[in-house]
Amino acid sequence: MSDHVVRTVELRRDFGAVRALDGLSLDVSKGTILTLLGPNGAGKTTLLRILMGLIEPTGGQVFVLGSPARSQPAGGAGRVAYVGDRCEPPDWATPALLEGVQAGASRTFDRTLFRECCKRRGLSLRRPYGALSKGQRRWVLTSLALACRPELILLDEPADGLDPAARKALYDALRDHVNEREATAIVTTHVIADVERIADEVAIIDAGRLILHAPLEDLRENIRQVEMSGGISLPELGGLATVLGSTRQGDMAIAWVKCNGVSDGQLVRRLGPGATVRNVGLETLYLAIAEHQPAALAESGKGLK
Amino acid sequence: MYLHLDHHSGEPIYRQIVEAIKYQVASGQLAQEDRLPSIRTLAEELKINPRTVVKAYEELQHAGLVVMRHGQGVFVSVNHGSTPQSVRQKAIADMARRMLAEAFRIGAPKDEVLRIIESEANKMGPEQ
Repeated sequence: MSDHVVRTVELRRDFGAVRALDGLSLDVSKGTILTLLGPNGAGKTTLLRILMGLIEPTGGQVFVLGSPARSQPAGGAGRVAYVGDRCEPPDWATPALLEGVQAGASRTFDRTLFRECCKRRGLSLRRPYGALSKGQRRWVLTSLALACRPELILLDEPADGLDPAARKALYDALRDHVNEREATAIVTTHVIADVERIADEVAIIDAGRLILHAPLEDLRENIRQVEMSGGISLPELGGLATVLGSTRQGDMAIAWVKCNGVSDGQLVRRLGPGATVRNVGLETLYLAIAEHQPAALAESGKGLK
Repeated sequence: MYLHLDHHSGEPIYRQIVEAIKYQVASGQLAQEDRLPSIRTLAEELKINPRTVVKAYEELQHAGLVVMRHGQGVFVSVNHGSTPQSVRQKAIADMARRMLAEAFRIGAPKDEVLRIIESEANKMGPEQ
């Protein structure tokens, strides 16, 4: 039995003429929080909805907890939980009612945990859903999902509309769940600071394709921006570093690379005098590869891990 | 155990833990034979993946700072600091070169650097 809680192979999904997912292959192992980054329309929500079994892929394969996604009963009998934009309860439903409904649907539902989560944010269990703020609604839905104690939890922009304290509380609760149950989470967000706080692994997708998938610790340690006047000869980096993106500003060539355990000194010596190498953060990398990823990279996306 | 982590720095989390524990040992906040928190406990406290703690502890063990005793936990080792003099001096010279290069680059004069080293060493306690 493989360690992968989620596995997609060459996943494709078309909506009419629009290809939302275009040959996406992604493995996520047990006990991992994976954050999914990508511009609007990159295919993040489509991927989560396929994993939840809400929609079918057009092509390719998808396995969740070891079985094809669609063969799971709806909600995987509580083994998989999903919080997205399009699954809102009616306005008149109170958290107390939602708790009862969820407890009836899922054998693993933890009422105490749900009530604690609500209490932590000062939410009354009697207040109708429609009377809650946007952030409070997110909080209730995410708490319901966590209280199901799912083996896999899929959260589509859970921090949207939450204030900083609520964001931290939500991510702390997620981490506790993942650690306690050796559960797995896939979380989409646009906030890089959130990724840096919670991610074990980062996947970047763009136009339905996987651009990069790597452990966050690896990215912290190994991403460099290389600058050189006159142009960087990319093949010369071969073996020392993997080019993730590159661009040109006037006479200056700039590349973002993931170095394979070599020192900055070794990189500069290989490139020759005039080259500078510096450490850059995830935000710089994300913007850089979203804007300047080489076409070849999309094909070799999997090899970057 | 209080450890401050900076999630937004370029420094991997496991290495931040390694450095923080090294500092606590060097400054006497952790003594020989002191027991470190279990992997589970530290992961829960810091809200990080237990594997990151494992990596940090393994690195500390590799560096000879801690020993893992099966079934008992992780302890600050007794013999840390017993590196042969020649090896020790070379390691310190390497660190000093890196630090000086960086300090000179940002325009710090030598006197200032030495003064800061002295004052940081004093903060770590008299036995240093």
